[in-house]
Amino acid sequence: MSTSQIEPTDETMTTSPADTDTAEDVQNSASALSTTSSEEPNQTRDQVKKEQRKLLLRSPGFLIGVFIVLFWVLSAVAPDLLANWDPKASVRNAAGEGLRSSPPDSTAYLGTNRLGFDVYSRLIHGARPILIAAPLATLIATAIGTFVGMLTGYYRGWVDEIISRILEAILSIPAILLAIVIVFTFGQTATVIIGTIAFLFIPPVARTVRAATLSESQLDYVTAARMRGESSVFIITREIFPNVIPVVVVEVTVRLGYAVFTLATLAFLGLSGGNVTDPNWGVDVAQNYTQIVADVWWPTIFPALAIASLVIGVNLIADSLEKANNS
Amino acid sequence: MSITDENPTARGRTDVEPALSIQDLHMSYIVRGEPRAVLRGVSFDVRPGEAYGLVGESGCGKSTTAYSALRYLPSNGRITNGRILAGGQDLTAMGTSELQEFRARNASMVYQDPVQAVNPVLKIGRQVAECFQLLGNVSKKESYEKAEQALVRVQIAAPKSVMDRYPHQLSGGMLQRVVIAMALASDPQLLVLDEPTTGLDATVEAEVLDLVRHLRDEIGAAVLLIAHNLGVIRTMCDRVGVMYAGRMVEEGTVDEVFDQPSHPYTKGLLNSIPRRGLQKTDRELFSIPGTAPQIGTALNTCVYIDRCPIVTDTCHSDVPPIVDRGDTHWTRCHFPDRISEVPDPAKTDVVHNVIDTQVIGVDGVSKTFRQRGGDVPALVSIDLGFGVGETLGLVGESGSGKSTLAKTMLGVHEPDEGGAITLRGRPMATKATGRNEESIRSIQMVFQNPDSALNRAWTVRRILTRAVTKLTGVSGDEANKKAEDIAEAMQLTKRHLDMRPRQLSGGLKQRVAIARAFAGDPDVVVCDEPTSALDVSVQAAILNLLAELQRDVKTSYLFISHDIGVVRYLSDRIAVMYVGRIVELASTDQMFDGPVHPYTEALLSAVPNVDGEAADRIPLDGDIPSPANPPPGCVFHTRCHRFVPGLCDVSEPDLRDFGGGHMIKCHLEAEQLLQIRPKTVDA
Repeated sequence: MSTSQIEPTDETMTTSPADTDTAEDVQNSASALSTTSSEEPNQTRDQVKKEQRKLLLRSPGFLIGVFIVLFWVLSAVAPDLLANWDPKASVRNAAGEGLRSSPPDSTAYLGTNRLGFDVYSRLIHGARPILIAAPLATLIATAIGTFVGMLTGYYRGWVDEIISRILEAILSIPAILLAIVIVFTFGQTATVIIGTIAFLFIPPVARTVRAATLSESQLDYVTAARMRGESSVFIITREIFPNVIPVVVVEVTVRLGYAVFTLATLAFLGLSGGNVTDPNWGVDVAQNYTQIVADVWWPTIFPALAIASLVIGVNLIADSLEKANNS
Repeated sequence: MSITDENPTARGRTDVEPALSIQDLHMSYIVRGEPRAVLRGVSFDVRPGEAYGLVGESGCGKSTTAYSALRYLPSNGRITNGRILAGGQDLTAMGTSELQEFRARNASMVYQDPVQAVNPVLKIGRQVAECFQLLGNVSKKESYEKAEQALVRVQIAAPKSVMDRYPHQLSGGMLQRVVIAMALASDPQLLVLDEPTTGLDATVEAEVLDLVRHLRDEIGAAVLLIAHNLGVIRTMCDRVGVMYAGRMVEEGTVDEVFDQPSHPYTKGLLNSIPRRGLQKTDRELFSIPGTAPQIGTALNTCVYIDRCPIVTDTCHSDVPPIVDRGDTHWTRCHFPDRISEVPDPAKTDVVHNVIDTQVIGVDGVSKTFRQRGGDVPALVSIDLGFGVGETLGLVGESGSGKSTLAKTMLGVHEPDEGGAITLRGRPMATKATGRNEESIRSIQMVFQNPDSALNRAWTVRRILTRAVTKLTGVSGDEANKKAEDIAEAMQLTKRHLDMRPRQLSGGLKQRVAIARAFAGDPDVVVCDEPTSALDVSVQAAILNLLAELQRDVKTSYLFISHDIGVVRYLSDRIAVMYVGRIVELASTDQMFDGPVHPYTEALLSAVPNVDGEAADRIPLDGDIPSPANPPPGCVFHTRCHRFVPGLCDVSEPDLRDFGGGHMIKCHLEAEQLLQIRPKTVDA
């Protein structure tokens, strides 16, 4: 950095990205212990954001995650673009014979299952149910969880005590067990399954948001808002909420990964909300895993890999976002 | 090690090998592969038995220098040139194990926050004993015995009971003593203290400093002291180095540097603190214009060119040489003889008129926090009034109820039944949410920490516009216009308005916070330590701004601060609080002329004086009593040096007028309070 960039009469910082970032990095690394904070330049927030974005785009984990998730999103949106067979009809060879349990080859890329359905095409078509249900459940859980978390974190007191205890009670029951009970009680429809997962995810979201709200509401800007006579609604929605958004974004991605996993588990256990022949990863694993011993591994392994890849992809994004937030 | 014991004058002798010698030290931090210079050739010696102070604003490299004295650097820190000699060994050439050995046996460091320096889950005794076990050759039993002796050495009265306690059960001052005891376990030749008293109250600070001074004489160790408080340096150190932008710009004995500064930066720094009893009616404080160059800047010139009032072309082209100003005093300036041309701050002839009409009154306000395990009376029948354009300073140790009083006035806490906050004689609603617009507008607050006080998700414009809208009722373009006007009055530019708080420096953030408080033309602004997080030259600018606003719009301030010099500069009257009670209320002149309450007397005597006139300190023994369980009689009798048995511990004195409205809550008469009082205490 050249001296010409220093603006001596100006108390703000110069705005060359490299320089401004450096100042803070250096201070961090120096672990400077002084209380005298300084009229010395801080870096600009927007540049931090830009820098965070740049770091995010350069992080391989984030890129791999985005690639995987985008692939499945494309499958869900336009399965016919990628799939070459009808997922609910037998694959037939050139001679018109049905191929059952045939290994991967150029006709059926990932082989066929014992009903003769194309494993690859079922994978592509199977993305849609899970990519509708998981985000939907997550969004519902996040919306309600954020609302509950902010209220309890802001008001505290006995309402917080009661709600927090209820949330803890829900958290203490194994999620799958609770899900099975609920789905059996209310019926095996897609709506019930989405609602169940949303319900299960409210407590963890609420707990995270509550903690963030609690620490925000102890900052002086909230006191200042109270001193100006702002209403609680204004303080919660306009003052605190914008500062809690980063936490909520991370929470959404983390929960999304869990939602995919839980949905697949329920489907494996037979709670898919659809027919056995409908393309569904969890159902396919459940239908075919007994055949692994007969060396017919492809109808089981590939849907399992599909589940794993989506969960991992979403988690890679969540991890990178969290790191970027904290950097 | 015993040189100083036998011959105190040996301290700082030039013929003794230095305990620490830093020679032309250049240091960089590697950031993304790029080295960024933080130290640009720092050289100094600390001799055995000598205390050497480093001063300078934040970011000047003084902490980095201190850490490098133990070669204790972050992983991206690189020493690019120079040597660090300690006890004849070159630290820069040492391997990891040698370095560990050196740190264990020869040098110790004490950090700012003692709470972070100890392990919260281990008892004190074990932690101190471990220091001795590390040194080897002691049994466990012996190490505990040594630990006890070490605690006795740092003047802990009941070492056995302290050893059996956990860190959270000790006060900050006591904990810092423990940390010092641990640092001294190895009988180090070098003791590095980094802001050792910054988080402590003035009274506790004075005790810790006394202890360090005593120990230095006792063990003859070299002391390297970092402090942003120039008074601490003046009272503690023999010599001082002034650092700026990674270079040392002036060095000399404390008397030389503080009384005859030879570098424009040193002079600016000294002019920016209120010293020698300066008051706002005397003159403005000097605020060094501009900011320090950023870390990593290439500087083949004088480092101070951007802010120097006597800068010339030479300064822009050459690194200034070291110019001797005496045997021990030098400056790094091309024109040391032109130092007199550095202007002194202008005298202000503006009169601060205080109009006696009371705007806001605190009438018989008590505040009791109800909690499990009993009630805590945090405020006990407080009566205060604010004249138009008056500054009321509020001082007292932490826990005395200063912030509670402020928050009660602002309607954050609800006072107990019977008390009221009045606006022009009429009681206001106790809760801010219940107050009408006029009441809310009339009293606002500036917080200590602007990072916490400003919503970081909002732009400056939004912060100010919202305050204008809420406090004055105007909205839309009109509110925006008013916000811009206020920002301008705070010397913020239009560019700053669309930034977020994080993009602003500490001083600018505090200006935004002040602007917000002034959005509705308040009658009273409560300032809770508004400058304690700022560097002195920035503090000067903020204090000037507050004084100027007061002259222009006749705002009254409740000014809370632990810095007596700052309180004296800005205040017309000063109130002293102790355990939730006002023990003294006096005009600033009355308070500094005496007689004063014994607590005030002790408080004032504890302030480290930057002018070098040390008054005899009146020690305050023990901790401030808990408000939950105040002592009977006068609450101060447990620590009072004028305690009269049978009187003070039996009945609580009234706040009485000692003449001219000077109120003191004490049983004694003026003559008694003046007895054996050392010379006038000067802040």
